[in-house]
Amino acid sequence: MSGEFARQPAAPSKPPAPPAVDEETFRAFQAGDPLAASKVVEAFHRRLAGFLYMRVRSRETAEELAQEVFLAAYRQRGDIRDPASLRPWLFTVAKRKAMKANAKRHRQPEIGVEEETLAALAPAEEAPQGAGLLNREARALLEEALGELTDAEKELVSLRYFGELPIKEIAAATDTPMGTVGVKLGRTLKKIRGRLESKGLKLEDFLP
Amino acid sequence: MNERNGPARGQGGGDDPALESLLSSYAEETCSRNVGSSAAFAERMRGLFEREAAREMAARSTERPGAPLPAPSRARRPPVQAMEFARANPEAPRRNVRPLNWLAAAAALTAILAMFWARPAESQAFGPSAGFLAKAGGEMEAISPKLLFPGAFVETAPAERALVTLDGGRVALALNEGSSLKLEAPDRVRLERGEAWFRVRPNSGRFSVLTPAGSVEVMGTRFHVAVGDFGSRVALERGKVATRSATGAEVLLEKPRQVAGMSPGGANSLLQSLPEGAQVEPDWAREVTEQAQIMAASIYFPSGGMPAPGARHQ
Repeated sequence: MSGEFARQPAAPSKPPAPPAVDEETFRAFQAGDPLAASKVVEAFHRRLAGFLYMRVRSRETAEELAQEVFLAAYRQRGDIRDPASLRPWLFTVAKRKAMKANAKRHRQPEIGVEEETLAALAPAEEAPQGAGLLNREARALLEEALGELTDAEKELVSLRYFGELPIKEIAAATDTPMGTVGVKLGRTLKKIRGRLESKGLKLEDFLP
Repeated sequence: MNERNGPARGQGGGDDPALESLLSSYAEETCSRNVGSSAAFAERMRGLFEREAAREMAARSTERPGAPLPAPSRARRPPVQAMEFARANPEAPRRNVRPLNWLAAAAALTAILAMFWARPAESQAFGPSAGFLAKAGGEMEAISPKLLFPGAFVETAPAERALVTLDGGRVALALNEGSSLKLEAPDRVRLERGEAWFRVRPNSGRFSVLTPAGSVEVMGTRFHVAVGDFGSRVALERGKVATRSATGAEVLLEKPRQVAGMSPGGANSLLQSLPEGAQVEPDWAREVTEQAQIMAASIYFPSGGMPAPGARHQ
């Protein structure tokens, strides 16, 4: 099985990028147009809120923080040079806000199992449309593996898979060289794989 | 760990497709379960952005550098020197510039230009009118009253501003950079894009400002109109205006600092008022008026004397 897995061609960068904000919308956003700003929100909200949720483990707090992030982007729009800088800017601010929120609550940010995650482990038929790709066991094992990561590793994984940021943007958001991000992310994936396989999860079942 | 699979080689994208697929599915599911509708969230945020835009507008109006102007006072300077001073000191504070009676000044300015240009045979559909274009770097250019006819457009390029007075000063309007305004009739203009500041002499008859998203009916007042992709925003300084969106939705502004927003879709709503003490008249409108006054004075009073602020020349 491992041999087969090893021969699989590399998948394209996953998951696909969220809808980009076009130049015209970006210019209008920079000019302070509230409608354009709301288009920016719509383009990035889902992944940003998902990232924040993974960092603070509370839907309500994630929503509040997302609101703060987008308001900050509107107020400081002059600092965002071009459409390509928008996403790293948003996630940099989101990362800091999540860190502050966690520190304020004297609570460790966790990707591991939380009550909300447990509550979300509903039977497949109750899952929202488009979800339910993972079975309960795989999800629980993955969350356990993620829970064992360091905070920096969790942040990296959240930026990559929740924020859907490419390496270049993660590097910008974390103020780390691209090569370092790549190496750290590679090590983190290796760590997760090791944990999952030690629990008997067959990763090749999840090949796209 | 299964060494035969080899380590993910450190690029973090595409080296471990099975694990990456698992993580992506997990992220997708988690977002579906824990993140609400982006469209609804964006709509809520839009309301916050509109309030923020109104707050910024108020802040821009009240932001004035604090340091005083160097003596002698600007009112006693010969106009050309004053213009040079303004050019050389673009950030020069304006707090201690004597407050102008804007409407009277506009009337005076119109009268000056009318005397300068008027020809008996000229048709003046808008009554005695005058116009000035303030170019980048402080250079001023007069707009011939001949060009101010029904159907004419007054347009400003980036870094240009304009001041136009119509009907003997009954209507004075200042146009910010990148704006386009059509003079449709003596009592009606159309702001196609950009922003404009209006003063209409009280009890002098009706006046309308049309915008792509709706219209503003005026009964002697001072107000600011901004047009953009977001629709049109109207902020009132004094008097009353009735705003009417393209679908007929009406909002009456009758208190100072009230703001109405007309969306391209036809909605018209009363937005959060500007804070107490906020100045509705934008700085750029005040500046272009002062520049136009100085130029008018330098034309009519070449020896350097300026009409006293607030003086009436009608």
